[in-house]
Amino acid sequence: MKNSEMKNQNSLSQLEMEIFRASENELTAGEREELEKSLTQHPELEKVYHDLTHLPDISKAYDRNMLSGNRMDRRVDQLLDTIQKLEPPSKSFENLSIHYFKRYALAASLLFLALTSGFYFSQNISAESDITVEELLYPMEESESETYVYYLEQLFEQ
Amino acid sequence: MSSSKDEFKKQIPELYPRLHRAMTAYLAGSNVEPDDILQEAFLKAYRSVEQFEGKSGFYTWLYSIARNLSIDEFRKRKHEKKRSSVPVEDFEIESDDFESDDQKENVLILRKAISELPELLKTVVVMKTIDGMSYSEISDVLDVNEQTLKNRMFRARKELAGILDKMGVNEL
Repeated sequence: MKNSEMKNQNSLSQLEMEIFRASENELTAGEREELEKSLTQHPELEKVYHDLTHLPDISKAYDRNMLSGNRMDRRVDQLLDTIQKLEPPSKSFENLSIHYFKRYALAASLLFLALTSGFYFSQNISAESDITVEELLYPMEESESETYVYYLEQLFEQ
Repeated sequence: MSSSKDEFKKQIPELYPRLHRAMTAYLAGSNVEPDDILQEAFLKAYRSVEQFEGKSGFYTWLYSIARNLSIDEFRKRKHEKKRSSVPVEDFEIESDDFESDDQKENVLILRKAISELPELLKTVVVMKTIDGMSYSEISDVLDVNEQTLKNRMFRARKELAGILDKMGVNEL
C-alpha cells in the first residue's frame, strides 16, 4: 500500500472512530462541528454519521416495566419457592445425633470395648496390688473418719 | 446454608426484573421464552454460587449464564432461520403504560428492528443500550476486548439504521 493510501485509510478510520464517539454522545459541540466539517469531503461517511446520530433512542424499546409489579413479584416468589425446595430439610441437632448414633453405635461400642480392654491389660497388675471388694467394704485399717469419731467420743466422755 | 447462597437469594428480587427485561429484549422474535431461560439461569447460578469467584457482580455472571442457555436453545431449535419471520404485531407488550397508539407502534417497530440484528450485534445493543452495562462489564461477560465491542456497536447502529430504513421508518 502506498503512503498516501495508508494516510487516507488512517484518516477514514479516525473519522469512523469520531462518528462512533458522536453516536455515544462523547463529543463536545466544538468537536462535533469539526467532525461535520471534515465529513463534507467524505459523503459516504457523512451519510453514516447522519444515520447514526439520527437513530431513535433504542433504550425506549424496553424502558417500561415488562410486567406489572404484582406479576413480577409472583415470579420472584415462585423462583424463591423452587430454590427453597432444592434445599435439603434442615436437620436439628437431635435428628443429627440420632442419625449418627444409629450409624456408628456398633463401631463406637466395639472401639470403646477394645480401648478399655487394651488399657486394662496394659497395666501391670499384680495379685498383691489387687483391692478386693471385701477390702473396700471392710477395710483392715481404720479410716481417718473412724479415728475422728473415736476422738469425739472420748472428748464427750471427758 | 452457606452465606454466598444466602447473599444470592437476598439479591434475587433485584436481579430478576433487570435480567427479565434484558432477556426479553435479547430473545424477542425468537420462540424461546425468557421466563424459562430465567428460571433455569437462576437455578443453575444458585446451585453453583459457591464456585462464583466474585470477580464481577452477580448480575454480569447471571447474564452470561442466561445468554449461554439461550444460545443452547437457539441451537436446539435452529432459531436463526426463523428469526426475521416474526411480524411486528407479534412483539408482545405486556405494559399498558402508553400515551398513544403511535407511541406503542414506535416501540413495536424498534423491538422488531433490534430483533433482526445478528446475535453478535444484538447482544451488545441489548447489554449496552437496553441494560445499561458499561463496555468493561460487557467485556467481562462476553470475554471480548472493549475495542471489539465498540466496533460491534458501531456496526450494530449502522445495521439498525438500515433495517429501519427498509421498514420505511424515517423518524420515530
